[in-house]
Amino acid sequence: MLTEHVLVIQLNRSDDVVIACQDVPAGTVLDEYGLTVRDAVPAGHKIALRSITSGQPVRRYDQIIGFASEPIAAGQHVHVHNLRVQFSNVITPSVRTPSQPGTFNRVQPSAESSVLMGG
Amino acid sequence: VLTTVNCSATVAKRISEAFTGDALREYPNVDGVVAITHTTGCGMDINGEGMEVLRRTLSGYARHVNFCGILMIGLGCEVNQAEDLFSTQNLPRGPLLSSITIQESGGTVGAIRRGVERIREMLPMANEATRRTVAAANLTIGLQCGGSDSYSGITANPALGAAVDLLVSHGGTAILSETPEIYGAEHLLTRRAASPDIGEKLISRIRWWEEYTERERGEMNNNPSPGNKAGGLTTILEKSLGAVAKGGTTNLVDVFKYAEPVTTKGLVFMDTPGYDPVSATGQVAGGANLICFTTGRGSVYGCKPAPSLKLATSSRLYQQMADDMDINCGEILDGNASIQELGQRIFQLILETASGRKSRSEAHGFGAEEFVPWMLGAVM
Repeated sequence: MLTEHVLVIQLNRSDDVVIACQDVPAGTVLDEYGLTVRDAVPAGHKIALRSITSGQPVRRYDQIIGFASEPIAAGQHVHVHNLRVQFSNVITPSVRTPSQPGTFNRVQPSAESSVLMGG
Repeated sequence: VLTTVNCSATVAKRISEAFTGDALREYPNVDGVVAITHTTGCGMDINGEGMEVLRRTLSGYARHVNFCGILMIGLGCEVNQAEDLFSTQNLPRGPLLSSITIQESGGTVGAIRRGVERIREMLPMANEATRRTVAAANLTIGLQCGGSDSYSGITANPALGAAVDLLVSHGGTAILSETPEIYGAEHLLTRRAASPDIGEKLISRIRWWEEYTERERGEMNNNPSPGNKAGGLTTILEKSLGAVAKGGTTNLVDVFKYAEPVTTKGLVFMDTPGYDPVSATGQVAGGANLICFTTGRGSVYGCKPAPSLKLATSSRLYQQMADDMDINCGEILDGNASIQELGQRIFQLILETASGRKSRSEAHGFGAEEFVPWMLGAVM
């Protein structure tokens, strides 16, 4: 069976961007996201899902990957021309080692038990 | 068959070669006899960091649960003396863990003869090991990525992360490594640390790297390369996140030095270089039973005694190097599977491989050349 290749992928539901899985031409309509792509975006690159004002954080993997260096419109290509990270502003000593223990995603023991045949 | 020093590598290989062909026919539960050799062990400071790391690595292999018996071959006059190795690492001598030296065996022919005899004595004991059902909580896997491409952070790494979340939820352990590859985004891991002490342990290893590279007159500049940028990576945070995605989303529960025994269950970090065979050698010495290796350009890595599964980032690679790839994470790009579904499949393949199913690299016989202990300090 031939399957239609997906155009873009969203790595986390909270992300501000989707990733192009192949070269996406300008004007492509992404129905799933209610979005028209404004620029030609190469495979592996990012497309803004919503408008982002200058200075606002941009998230991928639900993590901040940088800040908009100019206003970004929904559907625009997001890359070095409009996304920056001022490292010293992000990685302060307190960010490097937070004083509070992490509560990232405490995993509960699984109810089902998987087994293997060990030697 | 392990070696204390490069000088005993050939003897170790000759001993293992005596057990090829029909030699193991009476011992169906023995997978094989392998010589695992290296290029160092002498011409080095006996009290230096390099010796400490080498001995920790050899000790980790000597204790590894995927081996039944170990014979350590020395030359006799090397800096890394077998006696000192066994005593400093508290390695218990016995019928399944012993050593000989070439100089005390009357030379090469005598050492090979003695070595073959020792292994013959081990075989009936090794053959008593049979497979039985155990919980997945007993598994420790090492996470690797090599020959990355722009899809690594979209398909194979997040899919492996989803598998790691499943393994951790079953009580198992996964080792994330390659410190230089997370440099500049360490806060993303310390934020997930189960306690501030664990975060501090990671930062102290990063400070060590800063001092080390300064000493070697290098730089830890991990900014996206022109190739990374062409592939769509804009910032250092994004690049490191792609590598860290292999570790899934659970808490970081401990940080270990290179080749240190991994004693905490859950997602842990081990400080290693980014160079894949060196990194994986540290993980296996730490107790990894299995390696999961994501690759975009097409790695052919394999390891003994830990099977290595190769996870292709695209269908194109999976088809091009079909006999080296174990699973196709490119299906995420093709729209045939979600990251979660691939994670489930990887987890299932991990269990099957741990149960004896052969990985591609095992079928090719990889693993004897991939033991590469981290070399630190001056060669003298």
